[in-house]
Amino acid sequence: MIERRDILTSRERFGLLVIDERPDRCNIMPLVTSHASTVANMSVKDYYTSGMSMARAQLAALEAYRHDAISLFSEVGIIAEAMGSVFEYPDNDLPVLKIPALTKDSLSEIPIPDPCTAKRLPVYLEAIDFIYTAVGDRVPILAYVPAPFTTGMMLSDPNEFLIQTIKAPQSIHDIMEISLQAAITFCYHIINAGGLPVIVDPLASSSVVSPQCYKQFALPYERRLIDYLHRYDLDIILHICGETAPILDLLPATNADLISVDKVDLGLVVNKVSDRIRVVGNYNTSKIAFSSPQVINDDIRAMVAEGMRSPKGYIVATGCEVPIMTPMENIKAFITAAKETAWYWV
Amino acid sequence: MVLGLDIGSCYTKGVLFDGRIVSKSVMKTALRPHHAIECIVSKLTGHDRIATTGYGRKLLSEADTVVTEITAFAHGSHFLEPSARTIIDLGGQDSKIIKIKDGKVERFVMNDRCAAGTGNFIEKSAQSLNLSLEEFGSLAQSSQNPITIDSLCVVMAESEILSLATAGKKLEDIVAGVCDSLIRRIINIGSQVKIEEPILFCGGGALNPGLVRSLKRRYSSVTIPEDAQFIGALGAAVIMHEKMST
Amino acid sequence: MLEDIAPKKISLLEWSERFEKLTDDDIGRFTYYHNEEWGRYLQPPATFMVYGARQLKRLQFDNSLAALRMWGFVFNESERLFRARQCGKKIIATMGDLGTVPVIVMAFPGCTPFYPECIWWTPFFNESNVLLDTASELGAPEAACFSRAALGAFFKRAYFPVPDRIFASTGATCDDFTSTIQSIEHLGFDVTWFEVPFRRTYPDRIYDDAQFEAKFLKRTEDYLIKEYRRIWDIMAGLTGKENTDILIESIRKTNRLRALAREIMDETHNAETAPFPALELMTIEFGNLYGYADIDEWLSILENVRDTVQLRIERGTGIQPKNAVPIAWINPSADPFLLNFVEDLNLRVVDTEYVIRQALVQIDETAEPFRALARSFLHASLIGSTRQRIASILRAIDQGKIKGVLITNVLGGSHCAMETKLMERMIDSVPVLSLDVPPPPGITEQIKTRIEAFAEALHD
Repeated sequence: MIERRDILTSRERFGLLVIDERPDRCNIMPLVTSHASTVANMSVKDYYTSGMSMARAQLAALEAYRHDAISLFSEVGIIAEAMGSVFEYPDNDLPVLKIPALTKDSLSEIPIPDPCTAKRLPVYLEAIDFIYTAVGDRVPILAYVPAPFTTGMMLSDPNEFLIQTIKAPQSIHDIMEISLQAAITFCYHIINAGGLPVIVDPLASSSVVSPQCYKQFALPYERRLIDYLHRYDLDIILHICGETAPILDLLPATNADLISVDKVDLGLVVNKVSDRIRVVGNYNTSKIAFSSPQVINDDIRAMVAEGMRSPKGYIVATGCEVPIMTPMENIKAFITAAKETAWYWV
Repeated sequence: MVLGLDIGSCYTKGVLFDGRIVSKSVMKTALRPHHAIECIVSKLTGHDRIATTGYGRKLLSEADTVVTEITAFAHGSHFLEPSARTIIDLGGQDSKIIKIKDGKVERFVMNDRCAAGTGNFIEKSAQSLNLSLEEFGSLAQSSQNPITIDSLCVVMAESEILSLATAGKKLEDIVAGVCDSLIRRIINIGSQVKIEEPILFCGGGALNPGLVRSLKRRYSSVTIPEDAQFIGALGAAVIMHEKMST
Repeated sequence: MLEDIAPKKISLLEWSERFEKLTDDDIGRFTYYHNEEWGRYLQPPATFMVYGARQLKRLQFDNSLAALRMWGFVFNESERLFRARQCGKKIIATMGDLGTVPVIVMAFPGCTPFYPECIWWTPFFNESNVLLDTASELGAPEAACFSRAALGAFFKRAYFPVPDRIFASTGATCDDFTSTIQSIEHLGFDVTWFEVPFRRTYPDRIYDDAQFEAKFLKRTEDYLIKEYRRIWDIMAGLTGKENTDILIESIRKTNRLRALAREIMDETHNAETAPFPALELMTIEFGNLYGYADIDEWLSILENVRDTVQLRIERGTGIQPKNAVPIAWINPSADPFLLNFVEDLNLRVVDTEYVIRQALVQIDETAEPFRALARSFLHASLIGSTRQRIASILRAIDQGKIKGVLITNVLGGSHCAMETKLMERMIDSVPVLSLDVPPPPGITEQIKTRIEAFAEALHD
């Protein structure tokens, strides 16, 4: 089948979606994050430690795939690192948490980091600035910001953190408060650079914590962060990778404008929440890495048909980040299949 | 003592001034304006104020006064030739026609949209005929019958010139035609400010005898100042000097 | 709400800092169409920059709450038009006539007029050629006026909903503009054409025979009335309403809008120091055409601006030094950056002859409404001769109120090519600078140098 010619730019397409209008076709936004480094032939470490490199890689990926968004992200520890957690930087892999800040410092010693100077936060800002000048009129620039719950856990020893949710809930709320302030500060700078914050909370998924824990410790802070962003009238994607079926009913209460899901039946999401909230998702990331282009092509056609039933609108995406070493042909197969099928306009 | 600096895209010019020109210096900007500024500043010593003009005028943070080349040209030319009513500055990248009254800018106009009407037109034409700028200028003087070149666009004129050369037209007539064409364009642009004589012709174009001849065929009162290249730097210095004396 | 601070133009970043001080209640206070779910519009420039308005990163804005309301409202217009459709309003495109047909459209309840050609600002605010390139791909050449952006926007259907009706003027309108509308028609949009006549006579009499002139004028008016009635009938058919009393109401509201805008402009221009920036004032002048698709809210914003301006005048404060040199500006700047730029050079815009000047004229509320509309249109500056167009500026120059004139040509605007030269010739007692504004983001160093030199000449 011949690919239909786009009528709208990615930005125009996203702009229509968020005001409840049908664009020419669905936005196609596979989470091409650190994988972009391979497109630009650079080391992963270079990608996540240099704003210029991150920008160059993302622009190279955009040119190669012609998808609908820039996705600036390396890993979920970025705020925690800026608050004192220690990470190691392997040459060809993403940073690894070595020493959580709260295992060496008390909460009162943890700073609200300055995004212009603290650790790798400026990497994001520099990347946004460069990309905005290059393609900001045509493509939305999504900057993934860890939600307070995820940052909180990256500040702490994870086991201890989970125990404290039961034994000392107030101490967790205290960590959440400071993590929220750090996230707000970071988002403020992202906005002023020209990026659209996307809230990502993988450690709040049902693969990690119970729905009750999510409701008590994650959701209220996701909501406060989103409410802050709504002051600016920005349309916010909440991305929770991992299992989300048990908390689906809770997600509209976050006030997110779009919910990006991972390991959950897309039909279930469409049926349950898509009359209230736009749906983003959710092609299996193992499949995109390891299946053949033909299989991906078939899968995407079926997924798009399901997703487009969403009355509030749908974005064709992967459930989580595209794995770094995913063959480029596979991503192209994903995008081509989506571009052939995900049309609203006749 | 004032140092006037005209930081142009091709050359950086300096004039040391204390009510008269004390000394002057010029060097290629060559994409290194800071270096050129440093060289001129270290060469023309003894100043206590600096005034800058030209495209790089904002590069020197310690400048005491910064003016556009249009204002600087008006003041510089008035100093050299107080009776001049119109300045035609034909540079490599742009051309300006400045109408002055009592040493001040009354109106001005510059080429816009494209390089038509700039010295670039001559450079490209000379290149396409494999002539140096000097050869081009002197050849034009010997023409008795300049050929009309219609194309305004530099690139299209180039192919028109080559067609004429291939058709066996005399080289000097083609070259003179190019000069006429450029001057015609300048006069058209200048009509917006109503060119009045006496005219002061300066910039790189004034060094080309062919262009001077073409201009003089249209206007009788045309002066080419001796320090044509330094008018901008001089003008900046004059402005600063006037400020200091008031 | 926001602390009352000294007037100043501030950057996008400074506006974000100020915005942080607003409470949620403050932000929720202002809505369009009185809708709290999606009608909030009090957002700082950063919001619109995130959505692609790249020029906002380098522009400077007035620091008052009134200005924040104004910008938020103006930049929300595209969404507002889609929301209007979603809540059942009829969207009527009123192209080219500059301010009169919207008065008719607004008379019909549930009908929202808008100007698709005003989309020509979007390429500049976005520093983007997306719309202009789309128009070129559809056959509008690059040398055509920026109003061709409307062709791209009609094709894309992402900037406003497909209108329920399109009225477009021909006759005394720009040729490029009329061609653009014809191209829109060729895309398959149904356009209702009407003709606006050229004003041949007053206010400067060119015929010796006064009776002939009056007769001619009456004939022009009668013709225009016929055209307006035709539009009225179409709107009546569309909505089922016919009572012309609603037109009188619409005229009154329009007059209120025009009077308010005039008051703000006059007070600003006559104040000892400029209480409000030129870019914001031009935006206000544009709003006169149709109230940015929600005239009631726009009126409320203008009242807020008027109060701000008056307070600043009372206090003797402003956004420029007192010694700023007064100039007039002819034709909209096209690139909003230029309006910022001249103020940075200590020039003060105290008079304008933008193409939207047309919509400042008061409409006679005592006359028969269609005749009143026709008269107001025929009284305005734009549709007459060049001399008539700049008559008020020439008077102000004679009175010493204006020291220089800046004319910004829209590259390809057919009225600009010759008219500018005529104006330059007519304005011979003060410096005039005319510029061709290039497509975005084309403000080059050379253009800046020319404006700087113009400023130097005026300060010299």
